[in-house]
Amino acid sequence: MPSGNESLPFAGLNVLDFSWAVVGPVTTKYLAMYGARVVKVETARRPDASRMTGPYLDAKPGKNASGMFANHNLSKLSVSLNLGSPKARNLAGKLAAWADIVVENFSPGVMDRMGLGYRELARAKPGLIMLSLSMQGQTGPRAGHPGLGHFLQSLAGLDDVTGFAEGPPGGPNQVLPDFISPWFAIAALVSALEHRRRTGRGQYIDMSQYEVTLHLLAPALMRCALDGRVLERQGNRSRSAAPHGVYRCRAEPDLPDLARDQRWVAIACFSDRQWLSLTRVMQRQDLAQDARFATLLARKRNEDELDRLISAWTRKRAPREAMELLQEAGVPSAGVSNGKDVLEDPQLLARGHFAELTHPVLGRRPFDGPAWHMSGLAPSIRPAPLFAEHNEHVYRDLLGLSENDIADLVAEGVIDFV
Amino acid sequence: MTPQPQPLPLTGYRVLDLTTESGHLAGKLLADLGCQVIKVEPPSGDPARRKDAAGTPTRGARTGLFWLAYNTGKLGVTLDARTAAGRRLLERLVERADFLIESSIPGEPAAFDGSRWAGLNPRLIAASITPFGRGGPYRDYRDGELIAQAAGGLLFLSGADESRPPVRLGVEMAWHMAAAQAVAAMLIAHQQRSATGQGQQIDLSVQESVTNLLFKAPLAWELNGVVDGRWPSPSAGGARRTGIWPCEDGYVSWVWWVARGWGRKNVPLLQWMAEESDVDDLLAVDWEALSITTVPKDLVRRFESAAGEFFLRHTKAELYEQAVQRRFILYPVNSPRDVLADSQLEARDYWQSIVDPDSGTLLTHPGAWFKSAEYLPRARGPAPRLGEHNRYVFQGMLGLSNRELVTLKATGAM
Repeated sequence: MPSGNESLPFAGLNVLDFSWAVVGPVTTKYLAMYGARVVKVETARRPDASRMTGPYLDAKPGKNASGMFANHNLSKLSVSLNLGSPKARNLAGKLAAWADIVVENFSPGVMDRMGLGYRELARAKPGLIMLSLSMQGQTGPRAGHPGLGHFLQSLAGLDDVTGFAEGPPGGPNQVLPDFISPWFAIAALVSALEHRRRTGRGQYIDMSQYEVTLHLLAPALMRCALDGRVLERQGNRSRSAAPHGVYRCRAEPDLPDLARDQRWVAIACFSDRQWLSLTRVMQRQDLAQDARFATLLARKRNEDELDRLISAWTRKRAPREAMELLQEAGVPSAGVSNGKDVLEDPQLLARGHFAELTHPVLGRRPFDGPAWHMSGLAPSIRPAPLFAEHNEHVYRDLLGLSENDIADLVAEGVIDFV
Repeated sequence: MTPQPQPLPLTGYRVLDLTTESGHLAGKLLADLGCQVIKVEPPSGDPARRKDAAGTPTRGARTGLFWLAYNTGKLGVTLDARTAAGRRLLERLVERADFLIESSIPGEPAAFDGSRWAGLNPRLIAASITPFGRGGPYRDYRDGELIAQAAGGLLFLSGADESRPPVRLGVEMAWHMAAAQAVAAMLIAHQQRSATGQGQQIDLSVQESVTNLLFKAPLAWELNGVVDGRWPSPSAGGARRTGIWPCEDGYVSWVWWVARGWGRKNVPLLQWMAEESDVDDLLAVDWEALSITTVPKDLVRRFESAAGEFFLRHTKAELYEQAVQRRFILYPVNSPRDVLADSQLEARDYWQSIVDPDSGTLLTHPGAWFKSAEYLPRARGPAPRLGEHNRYVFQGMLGLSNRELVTLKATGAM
């Protein structure tokens, strides 16, 4: 199977990917897009959680019909390997010997119990680089405590700093930490490759998503350690800018019920000049003369009234319309985009952010690409694999097993399809 | 096998850091990995020095915690890139750099001149972070953290109260994600350069960095015509909106579960609850047989009401400890204070103390962002004082004489 990847940075790099859900797969997705041969190990008995999570094509669950799985596993190969089977170790070991890098995000201890811990694998392959991603690290009193991405958001303090001053804490119902760690993981892996080039040495990387995420909160942590102070939540306001908030826009009748009224625009003025521009766009030159709003301090004192005045203007407009009028006048502003808005966003379209690819089951769909353009290097973005799609190619062509070997392994339930 | 500490993997590489606050984290991560990072500021100092925790402006001339947090281990120099002399200095630094990062405000006179620099240094890997990316109808648009979270699709999904506007994440998520992605991109380009010797210009959009944080919102629309929002999502199958629940001394994060493999996770909590009140009816339910669409609404109400009351009678610490011991999924909504006291981080030896040279105070920093027997990526020293390394860099590295330094300073170029 020609890879066409010869000119990509990770061409020739073999990655054995045991990871599942989001954090590991997003990491290896970037390796795959930039040329690595990433073999994703899956088992029919317990498919990757993201294969079992929607959104599904036509809302019908199916191993190969999950948009989420397809999005996070671009450009990879998939093999089935029932790690629960006693004979699986042999085959897993062969795959590990083929690999330059092994990535996993099971609960701490799981890989060791399967005989696939770093020490064992590195014995057979000195120079192996292995990355274990976990919620709280491989060691410590809570290493084994189960959890999913959103809970880590609470643990790592992101929910506590988010919310209105007089209300409860709480941020997005997302799995943010799972999308934060991959960049750190990629940096760790590429620098490990450099280290190996220099010294010949591999390593075991124990990355705790908790420990990574806390870096985003460093100033608040340092403040509290210094003098015990924890600053109050500010909602959408800012201690150093006003106006600074989220304002209601005109309802959008074409949207489904729940989303129809949820039309908002975010506006922030970081200088008096931007405030004056805002008053001009709103055709409220009287406000430009109004002492209540003449300085930042004055605007902070009268912020409730300020927000009411701005809402009166935004309420009559659509988010994108308000954004473009304001930005053309130099006022920082953006429609609060929902998933549909994001797909239709003129700037994201111009940037080609979404890679339009044809997936065998989902059809032609927009998938999440990198947030960057490089002057002389483009990724190779290919659809995510169907379950066990590459059994033959990997076991026969890459590992050199015979057809009979493979048939035996299937009969023994080591290579499983159902 | 005794771990032998090894030199940091990127030792010997030089980074020129021209970022504003939206990119500071990038240079810090590269410094953590061993790069020599030269942070360039205007002679009056980076405005981000005036920023403290939670975006509060600092008082007086003190440098704020934001700067101190995100510029550890960097060398600090000043130059005015608007003057000809300053630009010449900058170009000489560019010639000697392996990496360059900058985050400029479009429309403002910027020091960034990507193609000129590629001409000066064809091996240079330069990353430019802008609010919406270079090119496209919004290329000159301005942002701020709130704006970026809105434009990328994250803000729409944030905030529990549907009767109020969505509420932004209270940290600089968009900017830090753009910075972290810049590091990943630069190192991918570096891997390429190791084989080809070629540099790269990387054009990175903060808006796109935010879009990359979205769990599945665009595909929910694309595949199901559903708009994911701050309400329970029908497109997620067995997973639902998470709940933040008040407890005796704060809040905890918990959800009830249904469906095969998940429903059983309710049981250990229910068994504990049973020690304090009658929840036999809830223990009798076969949660695994139910699905998100079939679970009766009054059963949900009953469970949530009982759990809600139960949580109010216990502290965050108690609830978390029992969750770990009894093995049900519950997490505290940690404040900074809770995080600092977390015994897991203590056991992992996570915190790093660094003296702030200006005030002499010991500051507690988040530490290594992974563990390896080879090396640890973490702050190698404090953030630089303004112009602290002018002599070291301009004399020591570029070979300027004393007289030249004095002239540059007098003319305001430094």
